[in-house]
Amino acid sequence: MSQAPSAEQQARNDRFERVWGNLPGWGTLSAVNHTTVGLRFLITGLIFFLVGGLLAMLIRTQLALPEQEIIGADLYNQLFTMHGTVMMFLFAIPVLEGAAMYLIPKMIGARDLVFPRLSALGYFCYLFGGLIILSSLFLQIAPDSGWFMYTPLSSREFSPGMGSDFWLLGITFVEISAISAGVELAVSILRSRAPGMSLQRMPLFSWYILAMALMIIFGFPPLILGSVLLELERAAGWVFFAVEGGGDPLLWQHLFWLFGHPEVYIIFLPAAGIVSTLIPVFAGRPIIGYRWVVLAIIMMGFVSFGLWVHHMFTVGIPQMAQAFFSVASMLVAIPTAIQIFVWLATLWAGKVRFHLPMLWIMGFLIVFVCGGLTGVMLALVPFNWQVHDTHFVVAHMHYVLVGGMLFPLVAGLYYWLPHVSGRMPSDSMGRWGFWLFFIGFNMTFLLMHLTGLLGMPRRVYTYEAGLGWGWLNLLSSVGGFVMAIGVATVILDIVLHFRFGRKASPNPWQADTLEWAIPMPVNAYNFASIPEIRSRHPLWDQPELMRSIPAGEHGLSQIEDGRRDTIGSDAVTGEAREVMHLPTNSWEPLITAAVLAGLCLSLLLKTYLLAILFAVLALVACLRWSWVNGLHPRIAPRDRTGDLPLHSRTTDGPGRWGMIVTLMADGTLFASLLFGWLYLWPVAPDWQMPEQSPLSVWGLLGSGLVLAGALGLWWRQVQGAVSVGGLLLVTVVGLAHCVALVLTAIEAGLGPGDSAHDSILAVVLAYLIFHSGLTTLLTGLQALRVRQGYTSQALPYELRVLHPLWGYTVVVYWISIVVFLALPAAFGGGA
Amino acid sequence: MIRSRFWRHPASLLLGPVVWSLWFVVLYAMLSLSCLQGWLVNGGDHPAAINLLLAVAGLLVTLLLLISAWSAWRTPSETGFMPRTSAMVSACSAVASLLLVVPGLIMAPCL
Repeated sequence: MSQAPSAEQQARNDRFERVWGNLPGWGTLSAVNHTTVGLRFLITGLIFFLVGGLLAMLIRTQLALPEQEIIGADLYNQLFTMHGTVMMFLFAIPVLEGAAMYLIPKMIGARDLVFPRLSALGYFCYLFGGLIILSSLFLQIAPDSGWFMYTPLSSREFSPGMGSDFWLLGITFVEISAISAGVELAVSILRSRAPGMSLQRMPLFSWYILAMALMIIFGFPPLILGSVLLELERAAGWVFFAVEGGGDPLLWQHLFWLFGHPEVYIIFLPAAGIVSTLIPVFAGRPIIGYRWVVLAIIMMGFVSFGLWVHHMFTVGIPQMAQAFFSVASMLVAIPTAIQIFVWLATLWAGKVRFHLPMLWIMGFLIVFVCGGLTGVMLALVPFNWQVHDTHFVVAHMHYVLVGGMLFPLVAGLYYWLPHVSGRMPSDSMGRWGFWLFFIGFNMTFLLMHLTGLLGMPRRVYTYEAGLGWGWLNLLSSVGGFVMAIGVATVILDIVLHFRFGRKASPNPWQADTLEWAIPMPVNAYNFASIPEIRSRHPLWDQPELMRSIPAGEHGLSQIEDGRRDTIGSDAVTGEAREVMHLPTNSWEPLITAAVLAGLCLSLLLKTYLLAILFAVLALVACLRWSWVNGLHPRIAPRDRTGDLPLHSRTTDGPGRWGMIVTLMADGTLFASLLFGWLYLWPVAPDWQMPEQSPLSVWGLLGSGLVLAGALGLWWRQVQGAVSVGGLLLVTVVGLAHCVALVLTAIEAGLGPGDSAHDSILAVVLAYLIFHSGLTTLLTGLQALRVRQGYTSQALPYELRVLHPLWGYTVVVYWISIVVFLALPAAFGGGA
Repeated sequence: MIRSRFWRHPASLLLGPVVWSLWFVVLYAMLSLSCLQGWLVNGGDHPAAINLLLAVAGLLVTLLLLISAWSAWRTPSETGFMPRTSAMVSACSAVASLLLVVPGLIMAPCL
């Protein structure tokens, strides 16, 4: 047992709590610290899970017996669409992001994530977006085209109501949350580990979350683009997916599954991270094959992007191309198998303690392996054709997603529960919950394989009697309700443990990772002092940390200027490089998210003047946010802390990393747009490439040269000669480029309502104008900040943050010239 | 010197998979374009010139990845973690690239 803190220690803890704690009452809405935001994600996600589960129960009630009319076809369509949407977008991803946000800083020895306000913004976008989507269900105008919204079913012609708009705008809004979490987690893992925690000493969970974060960065933009294009087609009549006018509905499928398949692994990887964390703890030994697991994570992350077409085997793709995707689909089983064998070997070599979390891990191993095996079956093209769109696919998907995500998630919930509450869950009630859930789950979905093989299609609201599916469906429905009782038991157990659970001892599972060195229940600042890490298993190899961290014997044990501090470290070696000042409680995330919600709603209601107003307000809110940042005296009141400089006094701080990671997502969105163009051009049956581009070659080249000139002038500023006049000159030249680009766009007289060709050009021009305008605006802002003394030749931090955006803006401009102007001129005119 | 620094950098972990991913995209794009435009497909019979082209290109990518794996493996490093892991990742990517050659050897291109 830990000793009671000394008076000095208690005084320090109180000081830390005052600086890091949330404001009381309504002020708690301004909380930005990762513990609060992570828990909010988790609790909100679990509420959405209950909503999704309720929808599933309604579906199973309807399907329990043949020829039932409890729920009509229209409502049934809304129910299964919303079930999938809620579970995938509002439960699975946000809950895992929340778990990662809660755990990562604690595991890597940091006091918070590096962009706390971004996490809070992400949470509110998720909450508001989720509520907007869910409201459609209560208004009975929910989307009803399936959770993947295939065109033309989801297009205006076949879905004239607002359902699809709710989905497209709501999900895009929610995805702001996912992208911000991706940026936040990737940069935090790379740049804020405790001193000495090199990459090879990093906990495996962090490797998994790093991979997940990067996969979000590269995986979500295709869907964001697809959603924007489809909403433009529905609301403004532009052409992207309609065959008439040169679009192609298959473009939607490509964009959706370019996101959709990696998403399965975005969900699986953090869950596997939980498994890789828990198994060594309960086996009482280090994991066997740490390096093999890292290798498997990287391979899985990449290969999962090469499988998207296996969702489209029936759309008429050449067989050899199908074979490539079939091979890739089988290949991804190899890194998965590596992890399974590593886990089994670790269990085999250790002395396993079968506590409650281990029970859920064992359930995971059984269910997920079954799901993986049916996955290999589905990778085989002929079999895939046979069972396409049947209940077999539904069963496989649930085995993979529930087995691969929910079982480890519940294991993790039970494992880290004492961390949050300081109490242990009930072992007996927890076991009842597990067995009810496990039996109910297999009863529901194992049988569904059979109904699928017998030919029952998915997404039908009823079926005739006498087809041989009746008794299987009835048993599936009974199993569904048994599973629901299991969920209720687990929830009851968790709720009751806060009141009746016995007090947890420090590090109750004898774990090896740093989060257990934090006193329980959890505080707002994690570590009273930040230790130097000398091992991959700090609490096993440096057990004194349990005492010395709270005693303040390590780094940053004092609070200076009442500011929140954590250590910034080298991405590879983990060597301490700077002290990062982190923002305190702030209303900006809530205000910005509320304004964005207003924008989303006004677009939904097609009140476009209001939408413009909200867009302007959102811009103002973001600029206001960015103003009190960097070297603003309210953020950075001093130069250094001890031997280390403040991050805002360096040239390679977390802001620059955040910008680069954000641009990676932005670049993926641009690449998806290029893909759309290069796909529709040869494939769409009605595509028309005009003899001559409607865009003025001289206008674009001239505007591009002005942009290049602005970059040259900017470069001189970054290289050292920074001045207000110099930055204003860059701003004026950037503005001239923007004006020239806008005039070129207007002069082109594009007709996006008439052809996909013009629609895509219009989107590209809007993309370029947005980036040029933003870069120019931010440069103008820098000129003002130089005048205020926040940026200077000696303090170039902010210029370094903006620098990659300038490079990106120029590069995408010239790539656009080549792809949208030069290529058609060389190969395609008149095609 | 540059080689050693590269293989000790975490970006080297991504080299193999990035090459594999690019190859995968190029493979799919080349085959699709070839079938759409009727380039190198020999009227749809097997083997067509596109089969040979893709197989040779696939073997070259495999070779390139194997060379990079060998180069990483031989790089001296304090703990060996980064170069050895990069070597294993590149080797796995080489195997994955080689497997993608197989359909091209046995199937008609545009069926």
